[in-house]
Amino acid sequence: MKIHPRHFLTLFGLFLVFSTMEAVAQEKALVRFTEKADTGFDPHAYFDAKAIARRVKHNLPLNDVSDWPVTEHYVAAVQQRVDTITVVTRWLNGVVVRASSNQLEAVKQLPFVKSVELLMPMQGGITRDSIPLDTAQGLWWRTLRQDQLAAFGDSLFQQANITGKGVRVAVFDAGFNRANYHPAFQHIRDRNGIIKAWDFRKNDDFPYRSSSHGTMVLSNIGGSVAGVQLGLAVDAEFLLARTEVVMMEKLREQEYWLAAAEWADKHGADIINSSLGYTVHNFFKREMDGKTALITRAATIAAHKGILVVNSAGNEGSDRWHIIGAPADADSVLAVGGISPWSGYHSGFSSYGPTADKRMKPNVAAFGTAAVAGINGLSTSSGTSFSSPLVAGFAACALQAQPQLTNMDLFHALEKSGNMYPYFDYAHGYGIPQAAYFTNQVGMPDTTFDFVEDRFAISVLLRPKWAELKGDTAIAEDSYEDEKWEEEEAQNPMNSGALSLEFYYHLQNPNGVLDKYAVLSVRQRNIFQLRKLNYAPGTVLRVYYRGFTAKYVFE
Amino acid sequence: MKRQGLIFCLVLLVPMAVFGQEVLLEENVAADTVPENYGPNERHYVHVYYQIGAVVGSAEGDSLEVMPGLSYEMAFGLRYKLRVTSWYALGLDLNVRNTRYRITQARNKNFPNTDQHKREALVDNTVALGVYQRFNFEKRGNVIGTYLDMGAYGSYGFAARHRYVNKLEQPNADGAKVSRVVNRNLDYLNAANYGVKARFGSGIVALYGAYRLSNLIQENRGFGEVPRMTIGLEIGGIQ
Repeated sequence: MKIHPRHFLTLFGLFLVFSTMEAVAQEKALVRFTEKADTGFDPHAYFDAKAIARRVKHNLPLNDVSDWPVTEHYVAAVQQRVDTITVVTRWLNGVVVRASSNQLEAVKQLPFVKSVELLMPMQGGITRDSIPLDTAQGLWWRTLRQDQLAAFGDSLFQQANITGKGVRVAVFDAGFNRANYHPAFQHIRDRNGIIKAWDFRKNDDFPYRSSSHGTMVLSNIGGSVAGVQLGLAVDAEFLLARTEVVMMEKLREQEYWLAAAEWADKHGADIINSSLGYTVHNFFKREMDGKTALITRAATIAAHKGILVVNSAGNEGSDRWHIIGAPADADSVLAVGGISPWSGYHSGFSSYGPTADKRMKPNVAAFGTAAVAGINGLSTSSGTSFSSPLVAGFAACALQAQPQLTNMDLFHALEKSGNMYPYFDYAHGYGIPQAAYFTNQVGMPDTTFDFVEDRFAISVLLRPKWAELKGDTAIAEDSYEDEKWEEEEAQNPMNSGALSLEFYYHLQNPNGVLDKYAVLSVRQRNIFQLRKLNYAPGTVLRVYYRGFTAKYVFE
Repeated sequence: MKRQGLIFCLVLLVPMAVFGQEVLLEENVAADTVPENYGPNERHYVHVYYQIGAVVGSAEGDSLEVMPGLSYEMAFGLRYKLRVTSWYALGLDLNVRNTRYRITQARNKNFPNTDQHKREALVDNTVALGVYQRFNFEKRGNVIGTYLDMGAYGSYGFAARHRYVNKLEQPNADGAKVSRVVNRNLDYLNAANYGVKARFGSGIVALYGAYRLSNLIQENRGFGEVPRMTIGLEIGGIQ
């Protein structure tokens, strides 16, 4: 067949069309301005009373330029040059626009424009988890419901009548379908405990639509049915914000989250719970550095405003992505990992740390499978979406117990209250926060193991009292011999078999970053032996077993 | 012999005594944080794909017709992508393809002769190497995203077949009532061919179209030409 020039013209034309597509395609961008005009901002007129109180408590200025309104004629000038302005942001002193590349070039020429930053389209979002497992309230459900709170030591909060009263929690989610009449929130509605509600997608005050993900999340913060609690903060106040759009354009979610954070700040939120994660569809792993994603920066500003931001670690633990997403990568966001209620350690789907810049994440953990109140009644669901609100509810109770704490004081206290603290790793953080820390009832743990060293090696040996083995004789001991241990064993012979609780250890390099960590089901008292020559001076071996933590530093 | 067997068993058992613990979870952090240079939106990416498509359009010439719907192709291939910028990439494509042209038994048929059959098909098996350029339409993380590929290919036929089936009213000399014939080493085909391709995809799914610029059937044989275009569906890049 003869090749006609029109074939090449057609191909070339297609090439021109698509190569110019980037120029005419709509982009989402954040336009930031150089300064704000002093318009006589009155914080008492703008902020809710609780927002004023929070600022006073954290020694934050009431009249801060970041809270001033954006200069109106700047906004108007940009409006004339772009297709749409979707968000006006006080915190970032700018606007989010939808515009072509050519329009953005025109905006850049304005003398008061500091920067124009293209935004990523967001996909994903909700840590996908809504797998209703059981709508029957049988023994298994009741046991799970009880255990998800008992893991925090909730009886100590109950004894002190600590229920999150006086603490305001903002919940950002994809929808709160039926939460406005679900019996699990009747106790909140009866006292007008939902202070404000807003749908940032529809721009109205009715977020009780679309997804029921937020309904289940809310239940794990402060839900209760017939006096039986699903979350710890049953007497907290709530701000509900729909910021996610399922199956629609996702870029806006980042804008909605920013707008919702400013809204929550304005209306006096002490805590934000955000069961969200943005990962592979929008970012590379190296961008999980606490500085790149817009939503991460928004969460960081919220923390600077004195709000504790609690975010799920993510459900990518079994995926190629594997690590936490945005905004959990922010250093001032409390990232919550998931624990299996059955094994007592990391749930396989829970995302791991560290961040791209080697910071520890997650910070703490909670049950990754929980009893929830959902669209069809009471059920269970899995995902770190539910670990996060369990901790948010705990944080509200901790703040009620110790109201003098600033948000970052509370952040660090939650870490220190972790059941494994000071042991940590990139799967569990410091473990599950404990009520005993906030009710001043922390006891001294028994010593459960010892480090035994010789010239060449360091070993970890369980104390006989804690080696409650069951079943058949243990596998033969290693060749390490110690008269002391032989004597103790003669006095307290092992029953042998598998131990009932897990053994955690990590190796932390001199830069403070973990090189390795593991969880073992131990079958003998001599857990392991490490040759000293294999580890650089300053490397720390830290071990946690049954409430006791100790460390050994290689020299 | 027994002693050697016992020693052999003991040798197998000795390492088992070392592993006294069950590892429930273990992470080597250094391996997790190695910078990536390979992935759907990283510098290099290789993936397999599968295509299934339909032959579309009419045959050329008066004496050859091809049945639409019953003429199709399948291919299995390997694709390499080199990311140049966030919106532009280059790549190579290698595949093995099976294309089947079902010949219509028209009265004026003369390809490859005038004989009429119950069913008749020309089957072309090729190996092809292609180059392409890719345009992506959105900023994205480490995913394939939405894209348009345009490229060209060259192929070589390695096992073309001419097949036909006849149902006999009376058994033939072999006692058969159904006769299937497969002809090989077809001297009227061009083994080497070339053409252009385009794909429009998002994630693991893409629509593709291919247009063969060269002639599969030799021009001087007076047979006409089978349809040049195929369109179809591709699945690839599943991680």
